Amino acid sequence: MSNKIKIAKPGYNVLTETNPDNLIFSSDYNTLKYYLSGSITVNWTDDGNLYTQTVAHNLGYIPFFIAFIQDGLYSAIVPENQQTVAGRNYRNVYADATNLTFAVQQNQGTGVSHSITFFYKIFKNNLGL
Amino acid sequence: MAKNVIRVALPGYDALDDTNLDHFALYTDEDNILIKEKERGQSSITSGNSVDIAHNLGYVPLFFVFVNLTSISANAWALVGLGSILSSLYFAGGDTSNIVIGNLTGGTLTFKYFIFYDNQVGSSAVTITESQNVFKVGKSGINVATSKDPNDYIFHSDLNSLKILYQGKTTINFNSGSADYSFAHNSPLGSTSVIICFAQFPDGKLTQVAWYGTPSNSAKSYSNLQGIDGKAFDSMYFDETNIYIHNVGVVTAYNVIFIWYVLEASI
Repeated sequence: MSNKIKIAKPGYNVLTETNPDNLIFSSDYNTLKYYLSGSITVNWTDDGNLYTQTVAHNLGYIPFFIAFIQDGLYSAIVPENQQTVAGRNYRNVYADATNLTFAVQQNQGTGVSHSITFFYKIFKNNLGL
Repeated sequence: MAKNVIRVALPGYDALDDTNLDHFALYTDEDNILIKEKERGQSSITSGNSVDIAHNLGYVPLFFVFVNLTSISANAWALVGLGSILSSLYFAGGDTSNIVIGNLTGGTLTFKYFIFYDNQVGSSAVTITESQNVFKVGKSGINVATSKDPNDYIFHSDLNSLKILYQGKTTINFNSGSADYSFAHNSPLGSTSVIICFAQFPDGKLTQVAWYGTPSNSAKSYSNLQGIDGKAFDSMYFDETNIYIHNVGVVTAYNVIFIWYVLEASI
C-alpha cells in the first residue's frame, strides 16, 4: 500500500472518502501552483491598432496563467474578444516560453485614448507544449 | 542552516530527488502557492436580473463563474466573463465586495461560482477562523503562528485547493468553412466538472480559450490581432464527456493545439 497525505473536508472520513470534491488536499492529485502575481497597464487608442505590453516569466516553458481585466466597475477573466456592429473590442493575453503578452485592440472609431490594467497570476504548472 | 521544506510528491515520483513541480502536489522550497477556495455555490437567475454574491474580501478575488447552457443540453456549461459593456446576454464580474452575475437572456439560467481567497485585483488584510488543529505552510517571511490571512499561505488545511484531476492535450485540424468540433476531455468524474482550456495557434503563442459570450466571443491568434492571419475560433463549452468548439470560418486548414485542465469540483 502506498503512502499518501489526504485532508478531508469537514464531515467526511479521510480514510474512506474517494471523491476529490470532498477532500481539501490529496497527494494523489496535482495542484495549480502560482508563483507570480502582478498587474500591467496597457495604454491604447480606439484606432484599430494593436497595443501590447509584456511580462517576462522566464520559465523556459509555457505556463498555466490566469488574467483578469478591470473594466469600469468590475473585473473579469480574459480573453474578451467581441465583434459587434460598433466594431472590434479585443483584450487578450498570450504566453510563450519566455513572456506573457497583454494585447488590446479596438476599432469602434472614437479615436479616444484609454488605459486598461490586466491582473495576472503565473503558475509553475507546465502546459506541456 | 538549510530551510525546512515540505514536499508531497505525486504517485510514482520521488520527493527527495524530483525537481519537476508538476510531479508534486505540494512543493514549498519556494512560494509555489496553492489557490485556496473561499466558497462555491449556485444561483438561478431570471431573465433581466443580476445577483450579487457577497464575498466582502476588500479586493477582487480570483473567481470562476460557469453558466448552464440548457439551450444546448442539460449538462452543457461554459465559463462566463464580463462582456456587459457589449450587452452580452450573460456576464460575471467582480468588485471588492461582490461577484455580480447577470442574465439578460429570455429565460432563467443557472450559474455556478467558485470564489477563492487569492487576491486578483488589489489587496486587503483578511482573517479566517481556523480549526483547532491545522496544517499550514506560510509564504517566505510569514509567521505561521500568528497570521490568519489566507493570502499569507502556500497551503492551509482549512481551505480547499482545487485538485487537477486530468490534464489533456490534443490537436484539432480546423479544415472547413464553418463547423463544430469536439473532443473528449477524459474527466474521471463521469460528471461535468470545472474545465479551464488553452489554445496554441500556429504562430506558437498560446491563449486561454475565451469564455462563452453572446455576441460571439472568439479566441484569436496573436497573428490575427497583428493582421497577419485570420485564425480564430468561437469560444468553447463542455459537458460531462466532451469539449466543444465552433469555428465559423476557415479559409486554409490549420492546426490548433488544445490543452485543458479538469479540476475537481463537479458542476
